Amino acid sequence: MAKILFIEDEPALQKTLGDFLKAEGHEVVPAYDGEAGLAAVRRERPDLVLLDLVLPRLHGLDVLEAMRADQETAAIPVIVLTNMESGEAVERAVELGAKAYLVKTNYSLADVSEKVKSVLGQP
Amino acid sequence: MNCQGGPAVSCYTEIMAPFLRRLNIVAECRSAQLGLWSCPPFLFVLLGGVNILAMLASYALASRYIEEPELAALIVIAVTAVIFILGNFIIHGFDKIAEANRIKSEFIAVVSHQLRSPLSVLKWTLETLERGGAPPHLVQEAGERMEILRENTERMIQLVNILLEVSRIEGGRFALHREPVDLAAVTQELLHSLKPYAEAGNVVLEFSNRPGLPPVSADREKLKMVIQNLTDNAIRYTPAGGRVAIEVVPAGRGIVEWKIADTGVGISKDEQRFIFQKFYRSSDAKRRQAHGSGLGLYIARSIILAHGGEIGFSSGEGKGSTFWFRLPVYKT
Repeated sequence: MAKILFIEDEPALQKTLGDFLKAEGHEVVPAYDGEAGLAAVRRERPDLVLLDLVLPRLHGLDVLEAMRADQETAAIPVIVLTNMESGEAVERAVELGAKAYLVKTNYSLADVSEKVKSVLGQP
Repeated sequence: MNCQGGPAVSCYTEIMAPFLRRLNIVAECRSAQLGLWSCPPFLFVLLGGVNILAMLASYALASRYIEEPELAALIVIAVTAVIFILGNFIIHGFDKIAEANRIKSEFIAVVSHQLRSPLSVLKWTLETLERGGAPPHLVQEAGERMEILRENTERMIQLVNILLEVSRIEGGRFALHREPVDLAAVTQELLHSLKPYAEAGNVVLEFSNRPGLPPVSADREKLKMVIQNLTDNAIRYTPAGGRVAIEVVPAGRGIVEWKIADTGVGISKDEQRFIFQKFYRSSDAKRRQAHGSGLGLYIARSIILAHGGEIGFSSGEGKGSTFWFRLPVYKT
């Protein structure tokens, strides 16, 4: 039972993964753009953030950077969930401490949920 | 290569053809889409030629003016300067090749992202439907999810069509089937499908034309794509309560103009010079619509230019935009 912030601009993905994680017993807070996502990180203090990269208003990597720069949010684990296959973006995300980098089309809902569990289980 | 039993001559040509083709430097440069002065194979040959000529000339001159060694020195300096300049051209040529390569990789990165977006929706929605049984509220929503599947399949199809169009444009395989086209009639036809879209966004869509305008010379299907694109954009960037007006008017001798004015968000000065570029998406586009390909205006421009027409716009931030294109009248 964790509070998960899901930053993703595609409503259909918010719905499918959001419902799936809720069915698993998590509380899911949706955010539809980078700015709203960053505001929600500060307001909601989630246990985990699922972060898309190509987002309106603020790029996912900028959200991640801003989270890391703020002491109060720096420790929140982040899983990057994207469709970008850029080596640079992966490197940058890992550098900024993302726990995992998942390409959406290559992971099923169950896989994502497993990953969420394993990241939440880490000390 | 299969030339057993054939006549010796044809066998010889068959084997030699690739080598001969490599020797045709001009063709090679053209296939790489490089100008001669930025095409390394051509420049290397030229450099070799310059070197040989310079050797011969300095030998001839040095043996004639044996008493004046400074002349030979001058020639060597001049030749070095020419080699230096040619060397610079060669470096520039390789830079161009590297740049083209970079653009291609970028293209693939953007395209794969664009294609994956609807695919990931399809994948996860299907998975949800498959599991449907477990949480009861998911089953009730099956109809809604079918709609999501249908929309995203459509999105994929459109994206692939757009990409093929771009590849045709870039490969120069862009055949126009010109015929006389009545711009007003084509617009009227498309308005039937666009009206509901405008109404859904609470935008008034108007069309006025002067009767009796001559038909333009155009490829009907390609022209439809342009009108559809420009109208789609105008509706999309006009907030509820706004107005989109299409007009077809004469624009000087033998030219007809189609234009669309909206009361939408407009385009900022900074972004105006980029909007016809491939994959360019304005900050506002990204904010408003996650699904755009950034190719609509690029394709519209390529199509109108291929017709020998003109396309342009005027806009101010917050003041709406007017896009127009002009095409020549069909001559019998």
